[in-house]
Amino acid sequence: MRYYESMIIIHPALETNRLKDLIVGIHENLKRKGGNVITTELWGRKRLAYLIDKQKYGTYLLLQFSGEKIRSTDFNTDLEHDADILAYMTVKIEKEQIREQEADLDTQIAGTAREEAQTQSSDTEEKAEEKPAEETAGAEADTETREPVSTVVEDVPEAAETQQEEAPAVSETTNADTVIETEPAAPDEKPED
Amino acid sequence: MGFITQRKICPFCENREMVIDYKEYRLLRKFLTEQGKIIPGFVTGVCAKHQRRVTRAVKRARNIALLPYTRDVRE
Repeated sequence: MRYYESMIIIHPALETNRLKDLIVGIHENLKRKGGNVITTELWGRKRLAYLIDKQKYGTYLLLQFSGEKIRSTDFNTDLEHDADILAYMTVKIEKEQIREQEADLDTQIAGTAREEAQTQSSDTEEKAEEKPAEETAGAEADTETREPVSTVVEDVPEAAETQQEEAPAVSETTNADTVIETEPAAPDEKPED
Repeated sequence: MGFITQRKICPFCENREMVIDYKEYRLLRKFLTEQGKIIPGFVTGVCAKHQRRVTRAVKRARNIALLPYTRDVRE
């Protein structure tokens, strides 16, 4: 038995009902292909590190499933052809990495819908105040649902400090929390001077 | 002298409970520069074995837009 994991980014504008239909559709599709869904985790609406299909946000869905002879290309092609799916990635995992299903799908969808409403209201409030507040709103939207990683690498800040002497580009490594806030520039963009 | 002041201990060898996974993107950010580049192991102290895993996890996280490929630091 092999175990797989699919991370799927769904269009953020999808309503609750359509979101559920989409997820149930993916489940059925997997079952038809001989897979067995073990865990479904809805991470909710998150800010993307870069634009995908001109979208800043996406709803993240984590699917863990098992199967013997699943043709990943078939499954991936179906995901590819779905217009509501912005991006997806399927990787093989070990049995130990399987997570337990904490809440059923309806509860998770209801939970993320509530969070979305809260973030959207805070977004609009901050936009009304002034423009530069946009970045902080993005940061807030990013720091939701998932539990923070408890363990902190103690060596890294020190490393960054030592690095600072010779390579200033690496100096703000420890402030990497801000990395995801702004969209990356096009790779081929040249300096203005 | 430059970077190497004393021997660093790999944080993942020191703490076996730390999981290197693309889903733990907040942890992985500590191993990226502000621009989004992966910091070499000799700077962060990560051993070769774990650096390979960090690299793979970062690349997976980038693929699924959890981490940026690049970031313009001038912004």
